[in-house]
Amino acid sequence: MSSPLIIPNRRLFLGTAAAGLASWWTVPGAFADELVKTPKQTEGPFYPDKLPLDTDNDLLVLNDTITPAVGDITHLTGRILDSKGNPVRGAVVEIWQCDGNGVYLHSADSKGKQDKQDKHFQGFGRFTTDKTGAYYFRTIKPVPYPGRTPHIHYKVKKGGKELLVTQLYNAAEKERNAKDGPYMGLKDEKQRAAITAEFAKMKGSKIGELTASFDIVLGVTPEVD
Amino acid sequence: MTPFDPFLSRRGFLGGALAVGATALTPWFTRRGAFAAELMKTPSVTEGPFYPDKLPLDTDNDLLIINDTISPAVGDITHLMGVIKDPDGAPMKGVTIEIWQVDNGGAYIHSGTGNKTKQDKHFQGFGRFTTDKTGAYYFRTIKPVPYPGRTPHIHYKVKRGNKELLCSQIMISGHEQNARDGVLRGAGGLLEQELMMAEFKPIQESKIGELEAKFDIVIGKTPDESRRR
Repeated sequence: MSSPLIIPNRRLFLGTAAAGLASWWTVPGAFADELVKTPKQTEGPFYPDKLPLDTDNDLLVLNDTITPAVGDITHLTGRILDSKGNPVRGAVVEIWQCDGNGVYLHSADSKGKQDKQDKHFQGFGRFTTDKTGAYYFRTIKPVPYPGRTPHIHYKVKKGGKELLVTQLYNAAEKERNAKDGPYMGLKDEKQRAAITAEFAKMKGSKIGELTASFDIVLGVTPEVD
Repeated sequence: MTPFDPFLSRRGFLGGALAVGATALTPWFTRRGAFAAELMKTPSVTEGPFYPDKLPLDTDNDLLIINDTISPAVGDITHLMGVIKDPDGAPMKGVTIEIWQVDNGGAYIHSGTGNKTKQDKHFQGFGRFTTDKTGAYYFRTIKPVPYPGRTPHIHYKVKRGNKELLCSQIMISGHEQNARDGVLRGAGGLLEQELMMAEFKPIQESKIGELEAKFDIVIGKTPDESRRR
């Protein structure tokens, strides 16, 4: 299919295919209706209470330090789209996650775990999108945390307004995911699929790097003013 | 002497054109790398004294908003973007570009800066961006302003890991103060100077007068080790 719109992926229902011979793509909005809006997930208690000194899109190296963080290096990419599938420019994507030892960049979590904490992991990153809506982070593959399946927290803002808070899950963690409260709190499998990504081995990488792609379709949680 | 057209030769394809002429009927474009090898590397110039002596709390790619504050920085909003390439023209993945510049009142994020009393507390003054496989970078910042003794410019540094690959500056194409700027003139001839300039163009659709500046960077084959801190 050489659709001029967007590469088909799991965000799209097969509904479009079911439309058969009808020129669905010529009907304004027909395509947009098939986009699964990214569901929200709880913010959790560990959004950094004190932002790190470094907030860039590389979570593995802190400012001018030399030692990188410990973990499976992951290149995390995706696009921020509006509910019609258009890329959103000027969206601020924030991610935060625990380090390779399960410690968050939050005093309530790191207290008493100082010896375990990876001092080289940034734990938080921020990215402002250009007109392509694309974002990119270099981080680690999330690890399990007591009581939780591995996940990366996301917050999307624009112009100071919070547009979405959610979490991203690893498709390979089927067992842990199936037992996870926030994840299974979404009853619809399609909803869960919309916040689950494959952490795939990166072709050509000699050091076992991974890639994960996660597009976010806004529209579920407009801020209540 | 071959006539020099700065617009045609932006980023240095002049050499490539000459090579075509010289080899006449040879299908140069079928030879791998024949064209790419002619990419001019972006000149390096002084780092200057104002690389932040204490990094700001926020180091992301939006220099207009600091962390969770609401008031943006003052200045002409500029979307600065480009691709970082190796000498063969291939995009460079996993390199980090840092930019720093004065705020709209001419103050750096540095304890020794001039114009300190006028400092715009809302301007981040520094930003960092790590490239993915496309080699592309993007910052939202302000159009640089002149301060005493210098034409407007944005400082930048490209690193891989802790290795500095290039330290240079971006100037505004066509700015009247360029001709008197020591740093720019010190970079070399007209061609080198041209490789350090970006056009700051109004974005047609923008209702608030935003600008767009495109600036590709070609990293030289020999990183300047002497600049390592």
